[in-house]
Amino acid sequence: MIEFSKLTLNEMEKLYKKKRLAAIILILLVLIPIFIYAQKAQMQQREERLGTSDWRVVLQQSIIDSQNRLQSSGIPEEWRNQLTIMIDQQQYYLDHDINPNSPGAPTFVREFLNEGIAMFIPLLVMIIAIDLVSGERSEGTIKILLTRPIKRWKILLSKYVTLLLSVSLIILLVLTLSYLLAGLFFHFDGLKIPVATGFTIENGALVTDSIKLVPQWQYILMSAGLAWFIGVVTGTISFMVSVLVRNTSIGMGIMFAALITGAILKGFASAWAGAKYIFSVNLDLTDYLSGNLPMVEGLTLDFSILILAAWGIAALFISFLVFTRQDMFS
Amino acid sequence: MKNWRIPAFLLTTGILFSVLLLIGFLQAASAVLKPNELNSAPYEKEENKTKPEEDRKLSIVALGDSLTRGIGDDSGQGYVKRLTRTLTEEYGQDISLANLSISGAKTADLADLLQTSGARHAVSKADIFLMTIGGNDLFPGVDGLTSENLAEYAPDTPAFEANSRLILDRLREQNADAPIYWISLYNPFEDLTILGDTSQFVIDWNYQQQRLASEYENLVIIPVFDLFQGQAKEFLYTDHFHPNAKGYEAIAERLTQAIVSQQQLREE
Amino acid sequence: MEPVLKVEHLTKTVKGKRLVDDVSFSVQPGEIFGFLGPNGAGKTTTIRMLVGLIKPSGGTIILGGHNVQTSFKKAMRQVGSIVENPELYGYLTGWENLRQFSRMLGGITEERIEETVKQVKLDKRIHEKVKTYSLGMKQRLGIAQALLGDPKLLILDEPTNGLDPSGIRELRTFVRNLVEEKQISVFISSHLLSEIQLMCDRVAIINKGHMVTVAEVSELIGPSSDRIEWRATPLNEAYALLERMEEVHGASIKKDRILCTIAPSNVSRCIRMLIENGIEIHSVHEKPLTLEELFMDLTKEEQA
Repeated sequence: MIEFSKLTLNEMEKLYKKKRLAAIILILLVLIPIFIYAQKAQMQQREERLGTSDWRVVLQQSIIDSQNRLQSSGIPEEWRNQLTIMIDQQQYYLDHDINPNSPGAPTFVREFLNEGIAMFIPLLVMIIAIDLVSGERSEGTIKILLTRPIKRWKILLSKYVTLLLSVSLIILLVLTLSYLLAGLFFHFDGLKIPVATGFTIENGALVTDSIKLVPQWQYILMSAGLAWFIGVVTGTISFMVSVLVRNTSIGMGIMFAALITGAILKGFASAWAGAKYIFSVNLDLTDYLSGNLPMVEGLTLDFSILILAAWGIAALFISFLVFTRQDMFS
Repeated sequence: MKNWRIPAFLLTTGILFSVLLLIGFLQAASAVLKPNELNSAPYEKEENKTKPEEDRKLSIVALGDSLTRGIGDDSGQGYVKRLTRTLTEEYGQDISLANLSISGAKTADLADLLQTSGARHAVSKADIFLMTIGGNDLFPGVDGLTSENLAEYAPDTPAFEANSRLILDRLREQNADAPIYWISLYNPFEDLTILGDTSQFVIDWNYQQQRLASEYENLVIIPVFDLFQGQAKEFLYTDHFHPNAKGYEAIAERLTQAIVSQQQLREE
Repeated sequence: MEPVLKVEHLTKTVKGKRLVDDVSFSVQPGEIFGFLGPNGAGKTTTIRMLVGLIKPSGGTIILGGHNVQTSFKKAMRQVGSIVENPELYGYLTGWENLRQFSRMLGGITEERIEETVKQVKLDKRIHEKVKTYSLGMKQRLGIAQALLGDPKLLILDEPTNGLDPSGIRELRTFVRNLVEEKQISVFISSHLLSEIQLMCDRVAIINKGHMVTVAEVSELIGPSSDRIEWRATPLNEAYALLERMEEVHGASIKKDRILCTIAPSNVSRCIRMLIENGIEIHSVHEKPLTLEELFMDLTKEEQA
């Protein structure tokens, strides 16, 4: 145990000295203000269009606009269903006097997690995961690492545990940096305001009975938990790629392709049901929380978690199987 | 040589935060899969704050059907946007606008809408109401209109009257004094002689509306029947039902005159 | 005495190709053992098997009494190694690198790290990033890393690659001192005969995956400076004269030259004798034995 914690400390030291976390902080410091600016611009535009910042009027207007869209012929059936459900949700917010887009740092954090879970967070995790093993191989340091009196599986496990902890650190960085930066632009209030979750759909209609109101901080915690799970699964798959592919940039390419394929296939998933078995189609877990439910038959949270877990476990299994048996020729 | 402390700190932070995130993950799963079993922490509703400068704005709420939406206007403005632009540019009014009209809405639909919390809120804050409603009650299923079924056609005036009362009562319930500008109907089928005398229906309908209006205070009927008389080619959109850009401009002009004189606005 | 390293029937087959075929040798305590062979002979593959980077297809490796295959941990405690280049973490300082490895060994104190750093004379720049080090410094840090766990056997794979002559000399003395002071064994691979000659007590020669021979260096090669090459006319007469002399061994004609082994003190006598017999001498110079020549000799013996 002491030996293992020392191994993990070693890995964390390398990660830290390689300035990987610093790179992630830098990326966040550049990107979050851009997101904040975009959101601010969007809010301003909406305010300008309606001439009011009264969220009830804004929300009512949005409902009416969606209803008008429903009137127009030629919109696809799935979209029609989604619009109807969205209208029901917004109506629920109005009826319960809850502002779903209350401006402020906590709302921004929530939105940021929601937007970033499928692409941005996996990419940040990839920065760390993709060369965790392949980096040692291309640098040649794997030779010193594996000629210590320590079994290979322990070395690999210490790297994997470091990856898991790094995913947590990345989420922590995303939360704190987005909260602080957004707080400077907007304000810090709104951690306790109610947010609705627990949306269930029956026969294409929203069941309001199951809706639960939770304080925003709890909602953020839940979103962060889902983002962490996504980070762990995509990280584990990157980790496997790092074991299998020696060239780090090829490994990056593979992961990019997988993530982008998922994003594209999501649009096709209503037509091709098989797509839902691909891990990268299942990454938008926060959508289940916000009630922005996918249009694909059979795509539910338990299904998505199951698929992702299966991919993660398989990737981990392959990583260990290959790494402990591999001949290190060069 | 204590520079291993940062990695050690990262390690412990990572472990502690992992536990918290795992809790978050389990809660999220429970919130979606078994919402009734989720333990919700206490929350506080926020106070509704609007910026003080908004109280000085003229709040316009537009209600009704496709005419208020602006269907048929290639520029997408409709009479509402044309009106507000004139009021802003020529009379220096700061305006906030909620356009709550829905294409295809009948009187019953509007009455229902006015019961929803969002619409009631918007209504309560309004300084001026603009409204077009009844066209879809009078000409239901415009596309299927032929001379035969028009001959047998009798508009459901009692329902129209009852729903209109509901609408006006609900408006007044939330907002006792903001003036209501209700634009009455024109006859889009005037030139279609094959349909027979459609104008009589419209005239009867508008008469009903006028009578009803007299019962309410601060309700102004804006007649446009005369504007469109003999102007079908000029003012109607290609669907031969909705106004085109020129038609909306004409409506907006008449409406502007009424509002300006009533509200005693001064040109800048 | 029990050998520090015992290799028996070691074989590695990859995709039907035998990279290492039935290699056996052992390294005794306190000896410097050379592992000689041309590039691509299977040296590196063998060394990688010794330190557990590659799994053997057959045969056994016993390090300090422990089988590498079955008790990896105990076996690895006996050995410190540099496989090919001394690759270390460039983004860490020398000290941080050593601390990393000390954590993996367990029971290494800071004092021990300091001691090792002094031993390889890196104390001045140990707190600088490794990427700023010269190759020689990296080499020394690599040795420090290998020595950290107080191994019984030090494995060095082509340690002089890329070093300048003074660096090579330094390494040679360092290894010699190490053996004398600490009584550890050293296993050195090389493709240069001269290097092995200068450093090693015994040598194993490998070619195309096969063991060619294991022998005492002095027995196999002899002092390198004793090989003399002659250019003279008439060639055949000179050859006949030299062959008849007691001091001359193994004379042979190669094209227009004569090669033979003569102790340095006897060279002038031979020259005088040839001149007295009317032979015109164009040149006389030392001609160290090359690996290729040694192979040729060894395989000739094998065939005969």
